[in-house]
Amino acid sequence: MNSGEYKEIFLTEAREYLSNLNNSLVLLEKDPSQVEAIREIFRAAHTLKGMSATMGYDPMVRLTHQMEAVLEPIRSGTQSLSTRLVDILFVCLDQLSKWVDVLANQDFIEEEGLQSALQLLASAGQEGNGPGMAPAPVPVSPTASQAFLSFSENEREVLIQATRGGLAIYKIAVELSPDCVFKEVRAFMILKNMNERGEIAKSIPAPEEIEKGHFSKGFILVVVTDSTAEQLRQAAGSVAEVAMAEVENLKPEDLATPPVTEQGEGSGMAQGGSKASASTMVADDRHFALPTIRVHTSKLDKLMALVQELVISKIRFEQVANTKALRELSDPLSQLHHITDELQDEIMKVRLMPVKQIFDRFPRMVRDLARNLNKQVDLEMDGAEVELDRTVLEEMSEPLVHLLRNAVDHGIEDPEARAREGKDPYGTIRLQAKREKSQVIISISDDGRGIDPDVVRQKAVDKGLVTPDETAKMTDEEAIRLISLPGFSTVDSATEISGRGVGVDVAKTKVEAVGGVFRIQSKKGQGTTFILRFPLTLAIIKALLVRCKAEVFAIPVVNIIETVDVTPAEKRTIQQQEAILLREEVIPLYPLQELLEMPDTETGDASGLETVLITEVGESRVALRVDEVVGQQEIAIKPLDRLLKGIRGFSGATILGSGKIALILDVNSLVEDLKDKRFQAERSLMEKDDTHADPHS
Amino acid sequence: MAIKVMFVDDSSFMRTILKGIILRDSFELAGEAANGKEAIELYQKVQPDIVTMDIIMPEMNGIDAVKQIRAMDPNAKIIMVSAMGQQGMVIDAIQAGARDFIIKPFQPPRIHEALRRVIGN
Repeated sequence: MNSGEYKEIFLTEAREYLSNLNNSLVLLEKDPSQVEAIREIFRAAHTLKGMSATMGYDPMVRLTHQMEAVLEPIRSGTQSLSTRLVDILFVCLDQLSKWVDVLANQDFIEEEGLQSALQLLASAGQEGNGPGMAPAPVPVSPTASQAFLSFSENEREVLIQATRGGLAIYKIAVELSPDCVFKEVRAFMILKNMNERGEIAKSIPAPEEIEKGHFSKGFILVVVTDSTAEQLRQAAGSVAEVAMAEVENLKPEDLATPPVTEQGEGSGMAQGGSKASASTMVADDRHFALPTIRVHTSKLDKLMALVQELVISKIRFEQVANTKALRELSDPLSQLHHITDELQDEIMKVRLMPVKQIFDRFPRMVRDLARNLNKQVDLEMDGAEVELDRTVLEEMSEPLVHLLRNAVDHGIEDPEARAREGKDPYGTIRLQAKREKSQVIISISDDGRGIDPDVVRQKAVDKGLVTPDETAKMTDEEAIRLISLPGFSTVDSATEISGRGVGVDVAKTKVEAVGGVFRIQSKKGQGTTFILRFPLTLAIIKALLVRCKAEVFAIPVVNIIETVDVTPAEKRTIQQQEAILLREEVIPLYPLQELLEMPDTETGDASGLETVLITEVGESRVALRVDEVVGQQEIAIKPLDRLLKGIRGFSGATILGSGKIALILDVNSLVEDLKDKRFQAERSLMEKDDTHADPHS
Repeated sequence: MAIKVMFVDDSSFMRTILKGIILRDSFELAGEAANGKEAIELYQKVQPDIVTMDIIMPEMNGIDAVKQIRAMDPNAKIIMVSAMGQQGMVIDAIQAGARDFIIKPFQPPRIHEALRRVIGN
């Protein structure tokens, strides 16, 4: 049974259930009257038990079983949930997670940790209503016939999708006559008939159990089909020795019914018996047989890489066709273009995953942190269903952890301090995801103490990162941004300042490394918001190709607002800073060659026209002067090699139609670096001027 | 209209028993074969309405015979004749296209029911 394929599925689902358990427990701890949360916990523990039993992971079976036993009186309302029990349950969940992690690398788990967890649970049980809590016998393996059908989120979704596609869902309960000899053969014939009419989406027991004849009187099938109920009844009834075939049409709302409610009474746990009914809701999810398959992510990565190569070859074809003016190629090429576009889109979609995947860990994390720090924090999450590319998602996790830690640690005040400020003693952290065109925006905001720009100024000066003069010239916003400088704060100093520090630079670096944008907004006394913008995908993007000297660079289109040709009359120089006047807005102008530190030779063409890209950096607009806009095209992003990764200003490279390599510019960091440099130069210049006491500087 | 039945079994004793149970009322004999190979040849020749097919036979077993007959005539109606413990083989035969099965030792009412069902379908 420990075949690798089953294990993969087991691990994925076990993690899902554990994450649900953690989140429900966090909910329940806050509000013990949450009946649905306790049901969810009970259900998840139960399903985990059944899954572990199927796989033969005995320690997990024993622990989940005991958890269930302890939870039963709470579910039935005879006992209330104590803080101590919540803590113990969290310990159990951690132990289960540990086992799941171990199982990822080996096929068995040790009992280590089991006894202590069981003892904790036992002690919690006695606390409550003593003798009644004797451990219930562990059911060996689920045997089912009268089982209640339960559907996982996933199954429900696929089934509902099927009904939207015009198919119907039927539940078929079949019973064979008691004197049937070849039960398995009859069952096989019924399954075969059903498969000829539709798809068996689920069954109790599992199809392979049915085919082995491992059921007592009958079994239940859930079939997705375009046949009618009567046709299905006949299909089942046409097989000899079928004593009964009942067909019931299931509506999507029927699928949403959670199983525990109906079979709660007399499920037998409290009475020390484990009737089949309780253990059979296992109907676990791997019996799911709709036409979906699990694919290892490495295969998707490979597919995406191949599509990237395809896009590159296509672009090269187009280039050749263009330069050689091969008109016969234009039709087939445009067709190829459509196909690759669509292919790319489809693969992109497959790779998308909801941010829920990483959000789900946070309630528990925030809860633990808050508890350790004696704070009261509510985590509100929104937009967990927003999807983005797996790779981006993975890169996103770490910055979010850092920022959430920061919010709990440095943002939210102690309950007493909050009360003094007239705030709700419960601090709120809001984690929000939303999709905006080809970007996903994640914001983390708290209603804590906010960042005091003056404290940050002082701190930055103390750290030797900036001079007092520099900080004096900074706006509050700019000052606040200092906290994301590497070296701004260390663990010990972070708590001293009324702001943030630890991890903010790490988070910012991580976000920018995947082509994201990082912003901070804060109001002293009111809270802080971090805004992170991520690209939907890292694989293929639209980019503008620009020439600067002999080199061609790519700039992601998302970074560019517009391109304009500027006449000398539209240029200004303000405080030694070149700028352009565009629709009455003054936008600072930076030559790309200066950003890239390329030698300055010529600017503009004979006509005096300069090509300028308007981009958005931070909250402000910046104009970039380039020698020429070569064109716009999609580019396949190749990450930079380890050795080049540290160089600021480039987010990757791509292969152009000509076969040449172009670097992808990270306009954000280029402009910021240049600003910093100019700022430093200016300051030192002004310091010299100061000695002349120029009042106008 | 008479229903023509073809019997395939390597044991003439078994064929005789089955004939005794089946051949009455509207059922009449189409022919007999002692292995799968003969069964295929005979099937083409006599075009029976229904076939009873033993599983374990020399030359060619019943499952392979079912496959080939079904390949020639997708509507062929074949009932497997099996013994206890042959569940796996019966499943294979049904997968190959057999319509039903009967089990030795024979229970006449069961056999009649199987025939009725298969003909009826």
